[in-house]
Amino acid sequence: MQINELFSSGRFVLLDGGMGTMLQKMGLAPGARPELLAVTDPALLGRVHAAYIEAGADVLYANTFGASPHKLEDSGCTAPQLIGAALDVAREAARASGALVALDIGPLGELLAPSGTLDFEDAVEQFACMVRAGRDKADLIVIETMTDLQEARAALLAAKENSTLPVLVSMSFEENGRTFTGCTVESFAAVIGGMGADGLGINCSLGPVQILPLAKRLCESAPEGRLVFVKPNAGLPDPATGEYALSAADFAAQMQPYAALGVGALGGCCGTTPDHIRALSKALSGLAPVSRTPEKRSILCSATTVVDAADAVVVGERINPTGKKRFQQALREGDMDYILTQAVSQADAGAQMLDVNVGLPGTDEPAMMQRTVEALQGVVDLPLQLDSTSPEALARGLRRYCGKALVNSVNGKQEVLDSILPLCRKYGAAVIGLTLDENGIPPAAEGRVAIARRIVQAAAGYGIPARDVYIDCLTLTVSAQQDEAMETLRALSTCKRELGVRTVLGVSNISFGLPCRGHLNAAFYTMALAAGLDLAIINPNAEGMMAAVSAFRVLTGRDAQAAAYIARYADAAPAQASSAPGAMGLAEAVEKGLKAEAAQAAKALLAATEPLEVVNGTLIPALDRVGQRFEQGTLYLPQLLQAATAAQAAFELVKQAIAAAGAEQVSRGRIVLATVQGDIHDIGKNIVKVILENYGYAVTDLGRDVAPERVVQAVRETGAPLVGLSALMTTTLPAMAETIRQLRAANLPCKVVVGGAVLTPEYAAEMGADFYAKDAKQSADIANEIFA
Amino acid sequence: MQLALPDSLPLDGICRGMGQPADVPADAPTLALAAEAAARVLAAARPLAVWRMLPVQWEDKTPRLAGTALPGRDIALHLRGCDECAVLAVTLGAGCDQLLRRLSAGQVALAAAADSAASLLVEQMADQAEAAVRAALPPGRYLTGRYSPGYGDLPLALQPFVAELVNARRAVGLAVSSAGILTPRKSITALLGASDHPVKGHRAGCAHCALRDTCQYRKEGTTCADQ
Repeated sequence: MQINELFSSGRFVLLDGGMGTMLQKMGLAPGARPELLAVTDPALLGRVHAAYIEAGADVLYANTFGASPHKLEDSGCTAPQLIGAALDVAREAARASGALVALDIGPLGELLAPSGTLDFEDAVEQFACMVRAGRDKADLIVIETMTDLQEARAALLAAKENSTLPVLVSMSFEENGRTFTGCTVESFAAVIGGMGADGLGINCSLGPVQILPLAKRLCESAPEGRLVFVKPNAGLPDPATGEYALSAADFAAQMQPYAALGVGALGGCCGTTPDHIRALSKALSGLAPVSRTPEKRSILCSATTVVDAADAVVVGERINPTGKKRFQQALREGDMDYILTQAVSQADAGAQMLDVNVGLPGTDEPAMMQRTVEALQGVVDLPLQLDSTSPEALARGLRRYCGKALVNSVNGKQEVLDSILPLCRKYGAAVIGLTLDENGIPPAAEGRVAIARRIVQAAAGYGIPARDVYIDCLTLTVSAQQDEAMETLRALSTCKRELGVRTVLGVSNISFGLPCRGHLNAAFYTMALAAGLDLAIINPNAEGMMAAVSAFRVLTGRDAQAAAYIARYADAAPAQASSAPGAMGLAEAVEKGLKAEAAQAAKALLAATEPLEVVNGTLIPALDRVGQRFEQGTLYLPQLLQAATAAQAAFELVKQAIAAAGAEQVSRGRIVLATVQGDIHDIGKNIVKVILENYGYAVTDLGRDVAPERVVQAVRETGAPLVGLSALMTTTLPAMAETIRQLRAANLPCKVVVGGAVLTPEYAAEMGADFYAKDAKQSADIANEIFA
Repeated sequence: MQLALPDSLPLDGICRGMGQPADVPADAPTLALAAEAAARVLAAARPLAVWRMLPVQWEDKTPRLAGTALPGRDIALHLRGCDECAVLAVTLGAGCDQLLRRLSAGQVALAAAADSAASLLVEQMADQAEAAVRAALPPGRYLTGRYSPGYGDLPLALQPFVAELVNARRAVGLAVSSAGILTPRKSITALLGASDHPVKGHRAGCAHCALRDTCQYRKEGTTCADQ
């Protein structure tokens, strides 16, 4: 039978049941690899498949779940060999009944970065190897038991890029409706559905009773036209034995309610046997699937956080170099920490999404976009809006983005639509459409609506529905074009009413060139919200704007019982008079480790003092005193860290002052830092970094799990005279030694300082390091010696 | 199985883990930092555990689990007299890792405190899981304490094998990186011997410990086992 025939046959499709369960029952030794059976005991596999066929299964999952290249490295077999053999066995068993055979793809076993160390493209390539091995023998591909949305994305991309077979994807959720990595049912539906999976399902982890409410949510959120399927376990396992106890009859009875949900295919996972599938088949006979009516919401999401456009969404605008010298400097230096602190502060201020623009002439925007997206999704949950005019930058960012992104932007120009909409389709992104084209911005609302209409039609041509198109009717500066503020709002409400789209505006451009811009911004924002604005790209640290949208949500019933408003403002005291005379001095604030006070004192001092004088006259002496007391043992690492954090806040203001004056940042020298390959413990390295920066060094932080080659490359590019390497585990010390070896082999004239819990001075010397630092303070002393 | 989070964590223990000496009380700002770290970690953690009781086969003086010999002298001493072994895996989950990454961006003092708090919490959660293993023992069966890869001469390279024994990836979302590091980071695997007579197990001692030369506890004249 062909797959299209099967899935449109008007009856429930029966999937098979547990494979591992059956193999164990038939005597597979604990610890043995089930994938090897395809060559060592194909007859055993064949008997399991045959039993499921006999029980009524329409689809067999071939025994390829764990047949990924890395897992099989020391098994004596290759993935293609085992996959080919396993598919042959399943095909043979399916021949008589005409059941379909699926290439079954499970998780790789390692976690992807940032939780683990597996690189995204390495994961894609491993899955691609499996797909290429199975595509000519399978009828469909199933990707199952995924708990990391990013890994599911990698597998789906590999399937779509290497075959034309239909692809079903199922993830495993816990009872709270999230996977182990926090992925929600709705994020799964939006992202995997958006990327073009033919079916979306839930398998393993729970029994039919626990999965039922989750399957209901999946039926509501999976895009139209996609199959929804389930493969629950035979109940929950006994914690001590791991055994499943739900009988076939009880399993079938508990599966019955699924028939009314809109689920189209059902089977079983761990603990289920041919008896369970037979009972299920019987329970479903005579029942027909009901059609699903998915919700038509406009959502954007990360793996863990879903934002609904109907909620008057705030998009933080601060990750953008335009007009921001300090941000430009961070981009030129690849200073990811600065970008991340901008993200965290916007999230803390109430942003629900973040715009990400890292385009700066003279820098590699596509590479920076990829790096920024990866770093951001490691620290914030908010959905991202990728902002670039470069299709290459958007492609690189979208590929790595684990969520449903919003692409900023297309416009009415055909070549722009043709280059960017295919990317949105491939990666399941929504898109912003600017109402301008070759002829510029039409002055009247009607002209802008006409462009919006063209954009919506073009998007539909790529399968992107109007609810995923966000029209930007463009905020013009009211001091220059006073009539057009109202034209923008008129266009906005017309688009929303007539085109079924969502709307977005960058708000603060309205007030350019006028005093007290905040007044105009807040008023225009409120008017736009009333006219139907969905997404506002604003600075969430501007309290007037957040107050406007918070109030709007109360007044329009979006904020039920004003709960969020009350939470935000109940304790808000009237503004305090700022720094009274006699407030704490900068040196004292740093020595006491008081961050807010240090920032305030630095601000006051910078008003009247040259930035360099603040550093050399106040900050460094204060840090020296803290350092001396640390060495004398009269204060300890916690206090040293708090002092460093306070000093860091002051340094940030110094850097801003220098950047604002257009001057070069002054540094005592460049140092490259890295946690070595394979190691993901970076708290020690981060502490060293902050202390070194406190002492005025420019630090190139390569992060953690850094390959030796990258360290060599960074030293070569920056000419840094000092490299700091960190490793916490005995298992990663060899990577540290290898990094030093490669630095020496490359003939780079740098010194190497090493540190980490399991290192000793002797071992450091043995692996060829120039210095061993027992703590962060000693790292700074070593730097001071080298750069003296 | 889901583990129950405590309402709070001991602040002096968090300060201790950050480098505060045991005999010097932490100052108020450090205690406040520890309190914030504890609250953030408790909000981010989602502790889960899985365990399985497996038979131990003895081949001369070498214990074998699921057909694989456990290398080294220390684990053999630990499991001496045991005919079964409980394999335990505990994790605080991915949310805790994300919190630690987030705090590392610009709040390094709080990040260090949170790292310490999470280490303390994962030990507490392992205690709780161990109590559950004990509670599930049939009458007349006894259990040793926990012994983890990396203790004494039991190599860290055993982590993938131990994690696989309890199907940790599928059961609690715990994986092992190619360098043998547990991910999520704040996770523990352990082996506990079971016997029909009271068994105490064997503490690894410092002789083979990787931290022997740099250990703060040893400098202060105590051991981690006394904590």
